[in-house]
Amino acid sequence: MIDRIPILRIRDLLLVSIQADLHDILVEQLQSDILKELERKSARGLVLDISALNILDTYTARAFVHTAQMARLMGTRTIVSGMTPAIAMTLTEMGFSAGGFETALDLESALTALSTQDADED
Amino acid sequence: MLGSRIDSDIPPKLVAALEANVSVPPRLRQEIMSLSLQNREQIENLAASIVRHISLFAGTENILPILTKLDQATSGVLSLVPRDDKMRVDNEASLVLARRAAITLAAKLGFGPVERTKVATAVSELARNIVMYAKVGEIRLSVVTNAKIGLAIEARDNGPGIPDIDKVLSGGFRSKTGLGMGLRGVKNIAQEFTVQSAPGQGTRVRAVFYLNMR
Repeated sequence: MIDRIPILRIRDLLLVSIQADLHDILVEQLQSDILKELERKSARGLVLDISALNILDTYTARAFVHTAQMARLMGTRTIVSGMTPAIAMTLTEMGFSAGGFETALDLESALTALSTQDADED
Repeated sequence: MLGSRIDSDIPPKLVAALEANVSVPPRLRQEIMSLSLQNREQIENLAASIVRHISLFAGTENILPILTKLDQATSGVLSLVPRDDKMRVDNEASLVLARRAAITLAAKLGFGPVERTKVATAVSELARNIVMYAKVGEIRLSVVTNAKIGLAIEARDNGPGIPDIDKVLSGGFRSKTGLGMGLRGVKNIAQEFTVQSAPGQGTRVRAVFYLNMR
């Protein structure tokens, strides 16, 4: 099992593409790596792309909510992109409220949303 | 898997064995012929397609006998016959393995992608509760064949137990770590759900998911 998920920086955006089968230690590691990276250099947006995942349980979903909240406090907007219909249905039926993080259909929409924000601010 | 290439004679043997029992439409034939042992997801999808095809055209009661013949014809390379599974859960790695085992078994029972995700998510929640609260326990996956085909997940541990299980399930209790959310969630997505737990007596959860044939 891998023990770290890489965080890519593209200008002022952080991009995390989650390809691995997530487990709790990996999720915690990712959360702390993201915060360290934001502390090192601020970012306007953070995209967590989960299109390769076929399971997202409530623990991990809550961890994403917490990550988004912490990033928000550090001035960064978080978007979770690429959730499969199967995960969306499962989380919803389980009673998990997805209000805790912003979502986008795919990576491209997430990046578009973050760059539109740019235009709005100008 | 293990990076080994599939013998090129396996797909034709599989098609022939399947054809001896039910007619094989071109799409399924193509799916079998393009089989690659490297790709776990492809194998799971194929297993699910075959089971659904057999149950639609030969009847649910013929699924196991036909799958057995298919395994015999292909020397068990794909192990299509669904088998009960039991695993010890005591850390992160075992949680991931339990989840994968659940997806594989669900596929062998013909579950589609959404149902597979639900089953695996349920295993993930139950296995996590074991690791977090009891440290060690067991997950059993078993095939249910009464009127309908189903997959039963049983999670057992001899941990501290849950003091007020009704309150946890009704949502009146929220732990910082999310125990309540996970159990309630599993109850919401499973077709059958029972839990036995008391302080000092460990916890046993049983959740059953049935195959939805449309």
